[in-house]
Amino acid sequence: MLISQGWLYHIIIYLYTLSILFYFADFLNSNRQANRVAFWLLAVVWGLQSVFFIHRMTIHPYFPVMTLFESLFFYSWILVTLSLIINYFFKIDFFVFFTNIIGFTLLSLNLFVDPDAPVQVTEMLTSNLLVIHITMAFLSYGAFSLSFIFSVMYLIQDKLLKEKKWNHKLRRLPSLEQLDRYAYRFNIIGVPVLLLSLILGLIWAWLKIGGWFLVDIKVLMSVLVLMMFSVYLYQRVVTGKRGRGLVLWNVGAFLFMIVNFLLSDSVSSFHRWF
Amino acid sequence: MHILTIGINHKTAPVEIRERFAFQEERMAEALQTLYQTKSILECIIVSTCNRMEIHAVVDQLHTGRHFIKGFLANWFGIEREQFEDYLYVHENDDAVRHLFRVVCGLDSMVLGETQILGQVRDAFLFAQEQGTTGTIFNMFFKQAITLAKRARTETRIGDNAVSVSYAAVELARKIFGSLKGKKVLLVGAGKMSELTATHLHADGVEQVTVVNRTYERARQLADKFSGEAYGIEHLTDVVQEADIIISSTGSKEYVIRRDQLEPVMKARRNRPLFVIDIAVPRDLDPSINELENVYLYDIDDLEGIVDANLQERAQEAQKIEFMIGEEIVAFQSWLKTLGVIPLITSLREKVLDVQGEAVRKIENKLPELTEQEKRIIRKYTKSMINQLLHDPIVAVKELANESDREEKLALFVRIFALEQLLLEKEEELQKQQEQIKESSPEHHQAATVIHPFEIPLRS
Repeated sequence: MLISQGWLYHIIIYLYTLSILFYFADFLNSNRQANRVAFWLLAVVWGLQSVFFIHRMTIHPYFPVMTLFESLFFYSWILVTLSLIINYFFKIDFFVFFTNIIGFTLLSLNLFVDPDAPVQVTEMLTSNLLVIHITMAFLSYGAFSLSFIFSVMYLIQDKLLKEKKWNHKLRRLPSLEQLDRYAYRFNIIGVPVLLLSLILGLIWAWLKIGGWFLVDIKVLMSVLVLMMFSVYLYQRVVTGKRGRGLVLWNVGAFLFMIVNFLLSDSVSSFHRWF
Repeated sequence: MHILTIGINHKTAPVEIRERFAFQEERMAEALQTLYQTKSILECIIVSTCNRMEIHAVVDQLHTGRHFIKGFLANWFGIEREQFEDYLYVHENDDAVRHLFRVVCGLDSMVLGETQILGQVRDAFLFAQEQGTTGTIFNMFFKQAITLAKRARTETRIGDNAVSVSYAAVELARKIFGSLKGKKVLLVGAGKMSELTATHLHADGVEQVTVVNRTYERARQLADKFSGEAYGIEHLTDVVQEADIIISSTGSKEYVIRRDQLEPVMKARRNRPLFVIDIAVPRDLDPSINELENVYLYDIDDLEGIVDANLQERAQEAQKIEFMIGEEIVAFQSWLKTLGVIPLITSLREKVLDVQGEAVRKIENKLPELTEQEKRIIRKYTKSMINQLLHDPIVAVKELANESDREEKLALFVRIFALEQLLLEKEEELQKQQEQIKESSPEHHQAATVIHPFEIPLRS
């Protein structure tokens, strides 16, 4: 059974690589056909990922987001899903490509992670609360990732407009206003979901571990991440601020979130996966 | 039978010649019918726009077709043939096909890739169809051309970008703001160019246009066109805060808006993007404005740079379309050639069905006791036998039509099945039909081209 899973994972990686390459060809030379092929490959990747995920769900007694391998996989699945949905409804050039560079990186990094690592949290400690806490955290990561991508696209567009480089990349990018709006919308989704996730995590920790968790570095940094994104929202909604500076802040907040995700696991006393 | 195109356009004739060859809309039907009654013309369509006048015709012979179409033009416009002959271009057969395909795709237009011409050709075709001056060939040819043009638009980016300075400004504005709805434009100076740009922006959704000018009256006049507000130049600093797009075109020798003036404005705008267009020479706006965050300053050279880039892009896309046209020409030729063997196929079928009918009649005479059901069965199975036997030769003859030495092969086909007499009779009958069509009143015109048996169309 595990062997077949390994095969499936490799097929997903190969197809994903192909899809990204076709998107890259389109990015370089405005090739519509390559774009179409890439899209369908991505759709197949999504299908296989879903099969993989469901299969894992059936062979394990828990919702498969408990190990590092599973959570990275889940994160990349969220990105592929969201990019396909958005592409279907809005057709934003380059967006799917950028999003899936992140999705693909996650999935590739995951190759170095042991897929069969045991769940670290003992069975006694797992509960529905914990599963929801993790799932929501990754959903918010997905939303922030998209917000980040729109922000990066904003910065590229801003630079091209300032330098008056009227090339086919600039022609295909959506307007600054639209990029800014989408970045904001995904932020507005991300912040409450992350907040809920943190609250659920705190409740779970309170019930299962006790009071000392508050000094844990991961908890503190996550609160900081939430605050950074909230500052962005506050500036935009309450003071009506716009423009490049605010977009840069959003990008910074996302990068900080990534650092939090990658580094603080190793120093957190109970967010240990490997 | 041949396809012939004769016309003049912006490349071959100056406007003073072109204007003399404009067909009046109300007399178009009459012109078409006159042309159609002309000798040698089997089908015809007239395309008449401000940049081109073209007559597309299916003719029985090229030289007579050319002669009579020129004669028609001379008569209709009352101009001596010698006076205009040098301005005309003539395209025949494959060239004529390629020409129409290029025209509908906008590749022959003054502004490469423009779309207006497609609508004009389509209207001309539909009108001629209504008038009954088109037939089998043009019905297919023009439909194919129109479909091709639509495909070219969707499959390439030929029409995606602006090719004039004022539209380039609109395109940039859309790049920054997305929708222009609710955006505010400030015109500094009331020049022609800024008026044109403002008109485009207004048409694109900009709601409020404010005009600031040295003389208030002129500002008022321009503002009234957009139901906007007008101010004297001394109010510039007050109104600049409100604007999302500023277009400047004054005759001032000094900078009208400086960087230090705009800095506080951006702060007050909470850094919302500001698009500033400077179309004045010498320039009105301090170039260092562009260094301010969220301000996008474009001068006339920048805009022209965009237009050039877009034109280059269009030229590249046009290459792709030329390639598509090549494919379409092959497809059309192949259809035309198959059209040429249709009389052969119908003659063969008629002949064989005659034989079958005769045989069945004889059987019925010799066996009078047959019941109706038995007769039906005999008729059904003899017919089915014929259909099965004919299937392969019909497929083969269609293929022969596309081969290089088709004339010899088709002649052999005719000889093997001894179809000569039948084809001759058919040709005479069709010629009679055609004459009748031409003599009858225009309202009763039907598809005009009669496919002559055994004639291979478009011989060059």
